Amino acid sequence: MADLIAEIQSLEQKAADAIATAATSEALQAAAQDFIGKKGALTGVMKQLGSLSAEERGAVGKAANVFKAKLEELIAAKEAALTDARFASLAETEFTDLSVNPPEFVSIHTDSALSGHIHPIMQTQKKLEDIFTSMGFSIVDGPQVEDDYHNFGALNFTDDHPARDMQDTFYAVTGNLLRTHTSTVQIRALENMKPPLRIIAPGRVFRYEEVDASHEHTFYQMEGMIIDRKVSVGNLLHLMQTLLTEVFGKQVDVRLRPGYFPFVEPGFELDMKCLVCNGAGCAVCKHSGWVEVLPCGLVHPNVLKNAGLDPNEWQGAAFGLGLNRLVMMQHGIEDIRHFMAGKLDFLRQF
Amino acid sequence: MKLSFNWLNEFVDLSGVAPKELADLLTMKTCEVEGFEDFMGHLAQIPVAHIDELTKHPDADKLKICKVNTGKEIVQIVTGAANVEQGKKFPAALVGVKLPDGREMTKAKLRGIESFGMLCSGSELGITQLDYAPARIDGLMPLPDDWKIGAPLSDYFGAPDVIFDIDNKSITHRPDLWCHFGFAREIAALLGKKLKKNPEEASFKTIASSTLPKIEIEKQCAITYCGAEISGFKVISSPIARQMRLLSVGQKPISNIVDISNYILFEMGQPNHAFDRDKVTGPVRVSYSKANEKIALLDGSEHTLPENLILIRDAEKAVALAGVMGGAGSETTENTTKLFLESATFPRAEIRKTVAKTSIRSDSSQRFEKAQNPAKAKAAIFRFAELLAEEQASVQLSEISEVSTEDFRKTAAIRITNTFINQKLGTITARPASNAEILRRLHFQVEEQGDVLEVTPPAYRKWFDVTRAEDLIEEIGRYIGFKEIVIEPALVACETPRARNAARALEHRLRELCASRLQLNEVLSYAFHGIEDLKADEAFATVKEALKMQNALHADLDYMRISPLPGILRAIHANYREQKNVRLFELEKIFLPPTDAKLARDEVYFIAGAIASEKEPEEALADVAAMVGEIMAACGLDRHEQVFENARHGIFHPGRSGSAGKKENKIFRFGEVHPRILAQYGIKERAYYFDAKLSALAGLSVSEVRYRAPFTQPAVDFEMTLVMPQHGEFAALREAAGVLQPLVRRDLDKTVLVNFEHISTFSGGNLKPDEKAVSVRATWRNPTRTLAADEIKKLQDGLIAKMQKAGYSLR
Repeated sequence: MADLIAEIQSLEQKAADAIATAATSEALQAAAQDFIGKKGALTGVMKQLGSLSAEERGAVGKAANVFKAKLEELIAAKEAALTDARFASLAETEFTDLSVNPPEFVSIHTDSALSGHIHPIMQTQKKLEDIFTSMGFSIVDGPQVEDDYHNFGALNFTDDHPARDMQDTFYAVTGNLLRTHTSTVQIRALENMKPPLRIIAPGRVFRYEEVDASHEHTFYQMEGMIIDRKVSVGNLLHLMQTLLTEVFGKQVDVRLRPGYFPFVEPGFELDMKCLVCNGAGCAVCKHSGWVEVLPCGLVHPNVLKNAGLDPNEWQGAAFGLGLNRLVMMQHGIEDIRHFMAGKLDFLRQF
Repeated sequence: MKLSFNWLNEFVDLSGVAPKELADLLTMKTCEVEGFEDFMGHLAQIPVAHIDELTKHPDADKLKICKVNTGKEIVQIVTGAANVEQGKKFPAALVGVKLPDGREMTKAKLRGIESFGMLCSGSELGITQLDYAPARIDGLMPLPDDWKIGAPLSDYFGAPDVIFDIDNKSITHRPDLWCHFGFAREIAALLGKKLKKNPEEASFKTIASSTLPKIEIEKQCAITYCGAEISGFKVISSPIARQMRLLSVGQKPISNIVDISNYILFEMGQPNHAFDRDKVTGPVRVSYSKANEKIALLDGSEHTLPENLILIRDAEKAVALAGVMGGAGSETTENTTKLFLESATFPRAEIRKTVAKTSIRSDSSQRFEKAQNPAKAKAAIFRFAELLAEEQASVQLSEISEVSTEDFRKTAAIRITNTFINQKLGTITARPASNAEILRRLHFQVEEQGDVLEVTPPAYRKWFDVTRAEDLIEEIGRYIGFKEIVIEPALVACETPRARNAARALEHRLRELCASRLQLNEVLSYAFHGIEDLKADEAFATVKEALKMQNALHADLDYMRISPLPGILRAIHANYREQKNVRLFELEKIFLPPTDAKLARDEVYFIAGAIASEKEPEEALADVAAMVGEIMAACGLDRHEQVFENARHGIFHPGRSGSAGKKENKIFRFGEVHPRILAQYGIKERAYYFDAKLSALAGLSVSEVRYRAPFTQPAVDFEMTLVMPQHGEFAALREAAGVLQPLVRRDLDKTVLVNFEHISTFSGGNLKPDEKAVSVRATWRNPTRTLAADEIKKLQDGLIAKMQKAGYSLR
């Protein structure tokens, strides 16, 4: 028994030497096979176990396991070292001169019929920007990492406001938050621009919720706002109807229902008549004839005041359009997760 | 929140109003109705049936054949139930009836014997949640002998109902609507109907009590607190009708006392709590918690509280987390003989704080968070006694202790004008009444003087709901119906052009370029990265500088990204198995340390692209470099001004890492992604990548065109092939050729090297293994004249000499 254990221990030094001298990954694998492979030296030793007692076998087996563990450790370390060495020598072994002036793209891509694709959300965003630009709106942008004031406080969500729970929020350790809606831009725009004004602000927003077929923690919205001396519910309706008619390329009927959002008063949910069944009722509109499109309303006087405007002098209308939902409606997309999944078989369809 | 049609009907006459009509009315005038469905409709179709005869099935030991009297006829039903008994009564679901589990009864044959329905258990009827023992029997539900044969079960369990599902978010601002009576009051106003009864006006005879605890309120911990003792009752099961009512809105029946407490919450929106009087000692105090104070709640949970949450205490201990949940130990049990009933109103900010700090939510906290009208707190106590007395006539109510910390009965008037209302709403085609009259119908008090209305909202609407003129406009608008408002464009001032957004225009231009010319597909990646993602690329910011999230959805998504690379690599990984040639780009933001004190982060738009391809690395790198060149050219940096160089970036293969941009100012980094990083993202093939900050590209755009007349003289090209070391750089050749000069002056007779470019690189053949041959093209121009042959020869020889001097021989 002692012989066998000594034999195993004697293998150790040999194995360590073989591993140390292996210059390539292949050589290392071969060395490993020589010692702990199926036909390796260790197997040879273990074949002699038959003549021993159970107790002795246990002792030899233990020595064999210790040997094996040591070897595996050495092999892993050597493998890492070889990889490092390979990486370190890449500059030598695989150099390509990038200081040359590149050829023209078309000269290397002669298959000009192949085309890439713009993300469907961005296509719709662009279309909306074009529509609103033609109606005299400016496109503005705002930060995605926001503060409580711009996301909530200035928008008339007081500290104890129960509506704060309506939007599950991501917070950073700094106390900042990820904007839960593009309405933050209402305040940012009013801080920088003088009324009368008409703006839209498309962009990314975040909600703290798990992802499933109809929920995403990251999605796109477009805020719109008019500030003028006099703005009525009738004006808001006109804006919304024009927008949807342009987006869908045909006359769209809209209706307002009461809806509650702290930064508008009165506040509405805007529905459009279902384009699939023309209001008769179908699966798309859940047999109601109407499809919920967006929340909107007249800007709350507190919001105007927070932005430094006199609510007796200025009035406003605002809306927030969910772009993911709109694109899903436009194309009948069944699962919101497609947008962020990056799969080409989805992206190439648009 | 669930609303029972029958319950509403107790307060407002809904006869002739179909559930669909009611849902539409509320949807258009008040709030979002997510849907409605029948509740216990099947009980109206299932009669009390008598087992006239019982015989064994000839071919099955466990089956029995029953002749069942359903009141109308004798029906044969085969049953396997062990507890069926001749002469007893059971529910019988006959052919055509649909059970709650979806099964529809059809004529069947069981081992050759026809059966025309099924005798039912409580479970099959969907009523095991009732506190009614026969419904929980494992077997048929036996019915009392005195129930009438043929009578539908609904005669005993309560009429079928329709339950509406109200979207809670849409009534956040309407504390008055968090109960059936509140909705009934709203519906009555909208339909112009009178209320049948008002639980807020309940009354009950009180008797003096010497044991009624004194009530003390610290600071403003409660707006009002009412307490009374109730005795003369036994704790038993509630009547079936009350149990069904609670079940219909999703509340499981427990015992008569708990059930009435819940019933009042759903009926009049007043949270209340019944303590066992014998377990409450001394005065009742409403006061703030101390730091680390402990409380055990009646749901069995235990909590260590932060300071300044409102508690209800007796002389010895905390007995409830105010407005949220009662404490363990002081609740009623079947042995309770006397109650201390609390009906109080707490400030909504305080309850919100408790919920936020403890994460405990309840039907009570849900209501208090919206603010409840304190004026109904006392009525709830009368209502409790009234409901209990309907069950047990011996009920006695003590006098009520009531302590308030503010005068909540005063309501401020709101001043508004008809002109303002009409302007804000717009042109209205048809209105049912004047503005003042509409408000009156909605229970507002209105004094009208000319154009001016002095409006006082009803007490139940003044709590954070109707507080200003704009709120009244909404009331009038919804009453009229928004469909009556004429769609008309706003008047627009045309004197100033709108502000243009050049950055956004550039973004869209680049998208167009990437997609339609560079054949790339746009992906959108999450802004959330894990620490390993951050470590993969710290070129724009370090791990330490990245913004960490407090509440991440997943542990590996707890930072805001500082590089576009991981997102693009994930997208490659999502695709590379299926596609041999993946070409992607992204245009979004990374989040770097702030440069502007007013902003949390420097949010930088980037453009990044990548390809994963089976092409030779040289080809793929040329592809990437060509794209970089195209993008820069599209942004205003002409091809001949673009400088490409070998430059080490941590993310790239050290032999294939480059930068591109202007000579003094590099814009892009590009190259082959380092195999270590590819392995990190599970990518087994080579991938090539480029990125740039959009702001750097925006800086390239040329605002003004500086025109110069076209050259009339031809330029002179010279091509040659030079031999250089395998690792030599083209940039070194260009350097050796001398300075490229833009032709600024066109009137000087001076010949200038205007271009020096790479044509191709070749190795192998008769070259040494460590050598390569590089073909280049040099271009000279003299703006004033055509060069003569000898002049050209001289230029060529001069260039060759420069090359040789630098160590590069002609091939």
